[in-house]
Amino acid sequence: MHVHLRTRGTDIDYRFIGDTPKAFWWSEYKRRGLTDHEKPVIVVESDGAGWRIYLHGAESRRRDNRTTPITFSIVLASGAPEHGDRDDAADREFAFRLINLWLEAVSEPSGRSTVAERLDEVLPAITVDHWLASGVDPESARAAEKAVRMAFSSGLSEPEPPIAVSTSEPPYRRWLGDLSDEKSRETFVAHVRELLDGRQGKALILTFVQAPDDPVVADLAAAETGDLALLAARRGRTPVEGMHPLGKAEPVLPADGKDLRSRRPRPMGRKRLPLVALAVVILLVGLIAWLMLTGTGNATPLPALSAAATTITSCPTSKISPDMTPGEQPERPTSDPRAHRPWSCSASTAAAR
Amino acid sequence: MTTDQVAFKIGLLGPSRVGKTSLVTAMLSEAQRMLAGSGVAMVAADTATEVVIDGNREALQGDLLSGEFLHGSLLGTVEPTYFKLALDPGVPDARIDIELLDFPGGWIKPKDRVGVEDQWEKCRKFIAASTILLVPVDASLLMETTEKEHLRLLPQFLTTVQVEQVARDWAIERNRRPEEPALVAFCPVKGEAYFNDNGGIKNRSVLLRQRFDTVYAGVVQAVRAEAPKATILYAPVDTIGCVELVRADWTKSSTGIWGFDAKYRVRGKAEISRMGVDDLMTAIAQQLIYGKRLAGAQESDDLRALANRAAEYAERSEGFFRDIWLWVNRERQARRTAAAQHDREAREALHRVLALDAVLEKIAAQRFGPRVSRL
Ligand SMILES: Nc1nc2c(ncn2[C@@H]2O[C@H](COP(=O)(O)OP(=O)(O)O)[C@@H](O)[C@H]2O)c(=O)[nH]1
Ligand SMILES: [Mg+2]
Repeated sequence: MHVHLRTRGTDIDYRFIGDTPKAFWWSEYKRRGLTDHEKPVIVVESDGAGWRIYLHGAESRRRDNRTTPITFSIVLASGAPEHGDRDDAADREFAFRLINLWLEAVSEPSGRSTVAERLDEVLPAITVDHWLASGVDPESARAAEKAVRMAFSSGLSEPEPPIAVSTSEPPYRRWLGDLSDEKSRETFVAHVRELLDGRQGKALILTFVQAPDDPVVADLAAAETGDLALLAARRGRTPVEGMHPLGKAEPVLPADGKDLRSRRPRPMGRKRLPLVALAVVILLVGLIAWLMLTGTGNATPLPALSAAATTITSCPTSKISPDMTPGEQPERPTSDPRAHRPWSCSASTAAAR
Repeated sequence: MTTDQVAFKIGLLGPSRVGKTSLVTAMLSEAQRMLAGSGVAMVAADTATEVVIDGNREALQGDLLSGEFLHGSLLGTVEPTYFKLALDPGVPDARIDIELLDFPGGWIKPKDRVGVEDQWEKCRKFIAASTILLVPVDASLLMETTEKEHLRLLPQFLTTVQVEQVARDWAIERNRRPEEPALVAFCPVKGEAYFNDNGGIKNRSVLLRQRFDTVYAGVVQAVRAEAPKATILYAPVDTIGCVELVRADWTKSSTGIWGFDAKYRVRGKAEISRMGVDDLMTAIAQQLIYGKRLAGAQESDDLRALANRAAEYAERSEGFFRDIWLWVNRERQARRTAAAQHDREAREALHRVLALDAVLEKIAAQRFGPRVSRL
C-alpha cells in the first residue's frame, strides 16, 4: 500500500510530503462537475484487483503564516503485485478504519475530528515544516507515511467506538443517498469494505450533487459499470431521503455472445503490449492533431484519450495503479475469485466523459 | 462548453491568502449587479464555479452576520482552480465565456512546485494565453509593516520577486502578439482602512500608492520593459467593504518563523459594499470591445491593415483573436439568419446577441473611478 500525505506548512504552500503521486486522478471528478476535492470528501475506486483512495478536508490545529487553518489530504493506493508489493489484510483494515474516521469527520464538520486530532498528534508544525522544506525526498515521504500509519494503527490512542457498518446485504448495488443520512452512511461503509476486498466499483462523496436526478449522476451511472455508492453533499441541499437506486449497468457481452464469466482471463501479455502501445500512440497523435486544428483555450477533456486507451487493453487486464492518469477506468479481472458480478468487466467502461 | 465557445482568459497572480478567490467572487457579484435589467446575465458556466463561489459568498455572509471577521473561513487553494464565467445573452451558443485561473500561491516559487511541474506548465500556458493579468496586492501588509526587521519580510510575503518573473514572462508573450490588447491590473485589496470613500474615516490612499510604487517597482518595470504597449492599471478594490482593520501584528513563532495576522471587525450595516470592482469590469469590457472593433474594423485603412493581420493571426492562433473572430462571426450569422428568415424568433435572437454588444459597450464606456490610475 502506498500512502501519500498532503498538507501545507507555516510558510510552504500545499504539497505532498516527499513524493507526489504521478497523477492527480481525483481532480477528474471536479472537472466532471461531481465533487470538489478541496472540500471534505472521500473518493474510493476499485477495479477489483486494486484500489485507490483520496481523502481530503481534515482540519489541522496548525495555522499558516497568515493564521489560515490548514487542511490534510491523504491518498492511499493498493500495491502493485508485479512490483512485489503485497497488500495484506492489515493494509485493507487500515484503509477501512481511516475511511471510517474520515467519514465521521466529514459528516459532522463542527468541532475537532478524531482524524485531525490523531494527525496533529504525530505531525507537529516543526516536523511538517521540516519535511516540506526537504522537497522531493524519499526519506521524508517514508517518514510521513510512517506517521500516518502510526496515527491510525489500531491499539493506539483512546479506543474507538465500534464502526457502524450495515451488516445486511445492501438493498442496491448502485445507489445514491445523503451524507447526512445514517443508514446511507452505514451502507456506504459496507460498500467500502467490499471495494477494498475486491469488488469493482466506486464509493464517492459528491459535493456538487444535491438530488438523485441531477444530470451528472445519470452521466456517472452511465459511464461506470461497477458498484456505485454515492452520497450527495452539496451545500444547502434538501437532504436526499433514503437510498435511490441508479440505473443498472448492463452486463457487457463479448461479440461471440459468451458470458464474460465463462471466459478465461487474458492478461496483457508481452506480445500484445507493443500493439496496445502503438494504438495508444496513434490515438495520441490523432488527438494532438485534432487539438491543434480545433484548439481553443477551453480545457480540453483529457479522458477521451485515456478512456480510449483503456478500451484497447481489453477486458481483464488493467489494474488501478497510483500512477494511472485521471479519467482512466479501472476494470476487474474475471479471474478474481472474489468477483461475483458479470457487469464488472467491460470495454464500455471507456464511456467516461 | 464546446470548443467553439469563446473563452477569454484572465490570469490571477499573487501569493496564497492575498485575496484571489475573493476577487473572483466579487467580480461575479459586481457583474451581476451591473448587468441587471440588460437582458444579459453573468453566470457561473459550470457547476464547480457555481458551487465554489456560492460557498465563498456564504462563508463571507456568515462572517458578516456574526460581526466577527475571521480570516480563515476561506481555506487556501490546494490545486489549480479554473473559474468559468459566462456573459449570456440568452441565445444558444452566443455567450462569451470568461475563464480565470487561480492556482496555489506557493506555486509561483519554483522550489515550491516540485512534483507538480506538469500542472504548473498548464498554469503557465494559461497565463501566457491570457490577455489580462490581475495582480491582487495585500494593502494591509504594505501599510501595516513599518519596522525594519519586518519590512525585509515583505518580498517573501508578497512574493514580489516571483510575481515579477511570471509577469515578465506574460509581458514577453504579449509583446509577441502586438495586435492583441494587453492589460495588467494591480489591485490593492484588504485596503478598507486606507480610503474614506466607502465607509472609512481616514484617507491614507496616497501613502498606500507610495508604498505600492516602492515595493512593486520591479514588477511594473518588468511589464513596461517587455510589453511597452500593455495597459497597466492601479485599481484598488474593496471586495468586502464593510470591514475595518482593528489590529495587525507581526509575530514570531517559537520555531522562529514570522507570521502576519490582521484582525478585522465589521463596520456599519454589515452589508457588503464593493468598491472598484466595476472599474475592473470596465477595463475588461474595453479589452473585448477593442478586439471586436479591430476584428470588424472598416473605418480606417490603418485599422483595416491591422484587422487583416489580426484575421490572419486568428487563423493560426488559439488566443484572443480566434475568440474575437468566433464572436464576430456568430453575430454575422445571427444577422444573416434574421435577414433570411424574417421570423420573429430569428429577429429576437439577433436582438439579444446585439444586446450583449450594447451592454459591453456601455460598461466599457464608463469612466474609471478616482481610485484608479494608469501606470
Ligand atoms: N478585509 C478584507 N479581507 C479580504 C479581502 N479580500 C480577501 N480578504 C480575506 O483574505 C483572506 C484570503 O482571501 P482568499 O480570497 O481566500 O485569498 P487567496 O488565497 O488568494 O484565494 C480571506 O479570509 C478573505 O476573506 C478584502 O478586500 N478585504
Ligand atoms: Mg484561493
